[in-house]
Amino acid sequence: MMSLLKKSSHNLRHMLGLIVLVTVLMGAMGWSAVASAQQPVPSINLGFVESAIPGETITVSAYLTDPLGSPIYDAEIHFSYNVEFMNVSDAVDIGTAITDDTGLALVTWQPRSDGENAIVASFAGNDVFTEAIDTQTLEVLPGPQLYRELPPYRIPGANMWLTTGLITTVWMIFIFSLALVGWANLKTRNAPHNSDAVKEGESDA
Amino acid sequence: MPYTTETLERATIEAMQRFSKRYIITYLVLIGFVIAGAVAYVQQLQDGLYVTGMRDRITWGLYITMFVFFIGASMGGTFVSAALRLADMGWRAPISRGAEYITVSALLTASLFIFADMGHPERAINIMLFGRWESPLVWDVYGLTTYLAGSMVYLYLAVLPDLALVRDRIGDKLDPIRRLFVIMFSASWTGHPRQVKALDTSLKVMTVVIVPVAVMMHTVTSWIFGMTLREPWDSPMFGIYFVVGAVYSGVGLIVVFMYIMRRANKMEDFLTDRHFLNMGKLLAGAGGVMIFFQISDLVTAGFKLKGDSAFNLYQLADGDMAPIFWTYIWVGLMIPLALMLLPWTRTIKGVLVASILANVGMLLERYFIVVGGLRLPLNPYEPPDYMPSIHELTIVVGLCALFVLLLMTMMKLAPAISVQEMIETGEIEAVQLDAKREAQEATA
Amino acid sequence: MRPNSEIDQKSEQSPKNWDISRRKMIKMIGGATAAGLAVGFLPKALRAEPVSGSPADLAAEGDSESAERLRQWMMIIDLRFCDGCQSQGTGPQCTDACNMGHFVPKPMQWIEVYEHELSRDKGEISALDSATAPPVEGTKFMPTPCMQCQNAPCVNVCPVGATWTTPEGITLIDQNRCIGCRMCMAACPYERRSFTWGEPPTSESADFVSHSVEHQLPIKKGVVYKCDFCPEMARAGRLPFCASSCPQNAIYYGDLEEDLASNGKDVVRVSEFLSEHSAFRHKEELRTRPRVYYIDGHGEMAGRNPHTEGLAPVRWVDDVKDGSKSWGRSS
Repeated sequence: MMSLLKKSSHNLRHMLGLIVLVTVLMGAMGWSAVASAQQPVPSINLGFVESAIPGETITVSAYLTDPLGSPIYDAEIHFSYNVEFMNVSDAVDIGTAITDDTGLALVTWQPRSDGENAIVASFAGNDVFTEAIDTQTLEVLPGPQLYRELPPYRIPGANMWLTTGLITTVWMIFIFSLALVGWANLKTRNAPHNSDAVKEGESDA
Repeated sequence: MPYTTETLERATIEAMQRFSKRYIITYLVLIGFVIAGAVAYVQQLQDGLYVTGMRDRITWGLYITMFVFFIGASMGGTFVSAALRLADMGWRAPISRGAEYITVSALLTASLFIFADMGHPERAINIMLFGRWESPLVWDVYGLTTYLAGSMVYLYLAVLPDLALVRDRIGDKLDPIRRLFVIMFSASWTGHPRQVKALDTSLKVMTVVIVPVAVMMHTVTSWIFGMTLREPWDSPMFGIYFVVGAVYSGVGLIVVFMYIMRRANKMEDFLTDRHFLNMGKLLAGAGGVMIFFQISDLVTAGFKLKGDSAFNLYQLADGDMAPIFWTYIWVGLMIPLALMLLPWTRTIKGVLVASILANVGMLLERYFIVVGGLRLPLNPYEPPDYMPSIHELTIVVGLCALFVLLLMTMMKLAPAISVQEMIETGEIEAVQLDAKREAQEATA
Repeated sequence: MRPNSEIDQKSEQSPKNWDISRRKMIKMIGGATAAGLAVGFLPKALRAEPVSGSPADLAAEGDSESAERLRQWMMIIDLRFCDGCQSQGTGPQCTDACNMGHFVPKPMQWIEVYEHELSRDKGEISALDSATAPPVEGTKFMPTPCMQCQNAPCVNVCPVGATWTTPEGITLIDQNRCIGCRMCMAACPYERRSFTWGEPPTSESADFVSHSVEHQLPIKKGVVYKCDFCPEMARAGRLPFCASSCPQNAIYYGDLEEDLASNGKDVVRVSEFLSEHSAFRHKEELRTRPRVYYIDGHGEMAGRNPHTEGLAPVRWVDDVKDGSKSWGRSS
């Protein structure tokens, strides 16, 4: 009897083990089935004007929709554009925005780089959806200079004319003084005069 | 002995003709110094400014200090001559010639110091070709040349009648160089009333013009420093500070010159203690204003210790520049003022000592303005040091010797006391009265 | 003692003489102004060709509103990453690279790394109080190139226009025009200009380069030199020596017109980068409007302890010319 009980409990244990194993396996299979069941890939559609000039404010919009076309709301979309600057290629931030009820996220931006700007909108993914990305090219046409420095403030009038005018007037006064005396000397060089009388008169003063 | 025009003329003309042994020896020694300075300068041209003690941190040194000092010294000449003429002060008469000589010599020497300081003196013409009117240095160049030209014209107009006097009295007894000089530059002056009137008009015009030119000249020199962002120089007061300092050192230099000339040319009769005391009063007045400026500058900065002014005050009051600063305050400002205020030092010798001390003080002041201003570290490093090299000192001594040489030469080219002005202002009678008064005091 | 009473009497007798003088006076002063303006033209008439790239040169070409957008070069130095190359065990590598690349003569450092005290009051705490004084906070390193000010004091004071700001915002020096007065050195509030006091101790190979205002070679005696933001390299799309050699990539070189800057690894948007990190400029209150921005830090992102003081020595070119002299920073 004991050996039968032992045998049956032994078997029972095996049975139990088997049942647990199967349940677990089935559960795992079910779980992974659920889990790896195709997570929907949303799609992003970037939209903006065809071309712009540097500094012009444009709106970059992105629609985030699920594979069935319904909008995904409250999702964070990150906008950037690809540049090559000083031989370094990198993505430069434009901004981030949250999609609204219609799945629309938009940022305003002033493009600064000439030529073709590859604008990228990316969605990092959430619990439900995987990540998604969209790239479109914006043509930036030649435009005006945006960054201008103001020249240093100058005192109005303190310029070449005032300075040269002042200096030369003074020099002309010097020359005039010399010329006056020289002229008088030359004119009366040989004129006779009573120099002694003049001297005496002066020493009376 | 009655002092008349004849006595004065004889005294001045005799002084022109006398070449004492002392004069010749001094002249030769000074020429030696100038040659030494020239040799040092040639080496500086070859090796670059490396031969000086200046480096990147202290980029202006003894050359610019002496430049500013001589510019300051030149102010005295005009001030005494022209401003006193405008104010109709007769006692300027025996002094004005020496003052005008000093102005011209000092300006010439100052411009040579600028050449000594440039890295490429051969490119100096660039200031004319490419000069920027916005630059304080260009203002200074044109200010200096204008003031120099004006002083030369002023000196010439004042000396013209005296040159004619020399030509008339001893023209044929002079050596050929001086005879040619005197004949050429006396420009057929005969004393005709029309000539006298023309000269009078011209001198009046020049007097009125030269005083503001002198003030502007010193202001733009100060703006070489005042237009920078370095804390010790960044003060709107620099303009007037330099002008008053210039009057102070200029008046002092004239007193020294007067004294030497008086002794060397035996002019004791015509340069009496009244003249010296009046100059002493001017010196005291300018010194008083300098003390006021020093106080207002230092006390307002010291009360707040804003920004970098703490460093500047500490270095002057307590630090590496303290000996120079305190010597300037006591020896350069306080003692001369005391000498002039105390009755028993108000003598000719007292005024002379005060003037010498004033000039020493002003030289130190220029030094701590230029070098002390550059010592303030603009980045975190230890305050730099500056030690003038032998080359620098040789060139400085050479140029100072050149200054004295110019003065000595000018003294022999025309009467050292302006006979014309002495007559004009009736100073001869005043000097007579002085002598009478002294004789009375001696017998009393 | 009124002088010349005789002459005053005589003038009353013959007013005709005074009138002549007065007429002459008016004629003269009238001619003075006209002559003044004419003479005032003399410097301009004698003026030689303006230096290429200078505003005078471009004005002569009539080029100011051209369609081409101009770069506006600038630099951002991220002090959170600068540790003075203490972690590398070398002297500051930005300075080394600049000195080698430009053949900078000793002892000039066109970009110089200064060690700033983090505590502003350190100099004013006396030794007596150090027991109770607040602890010294440590140091930070600040690579200091020429600030390329837009209201440059050096440009404002140069008497001959040997230094000027290009339309791209870089301050250049024409060593062929410089007269060596050193007024610019006295005026620069950042003390970034150096003078060749003697025959410069630089490499002989530098002498074979033909002169251009944009690369300051060959190095001559008696003129002023400074950091020039490597304009030729920038135009060719290469970072300056300092930016490309920084082991921490702390130096960004950028363009305010395109609003981008790069340190060799990343590209950042300048306006955002500066405002995000509250960037400052050195001695901003002087209103020199410099083009070098700093992001405050003390090398913490490079793992530096701010109490580690000291910089290793900087290097210069070894093969110096014969007869050249080396000089110190002060005498």
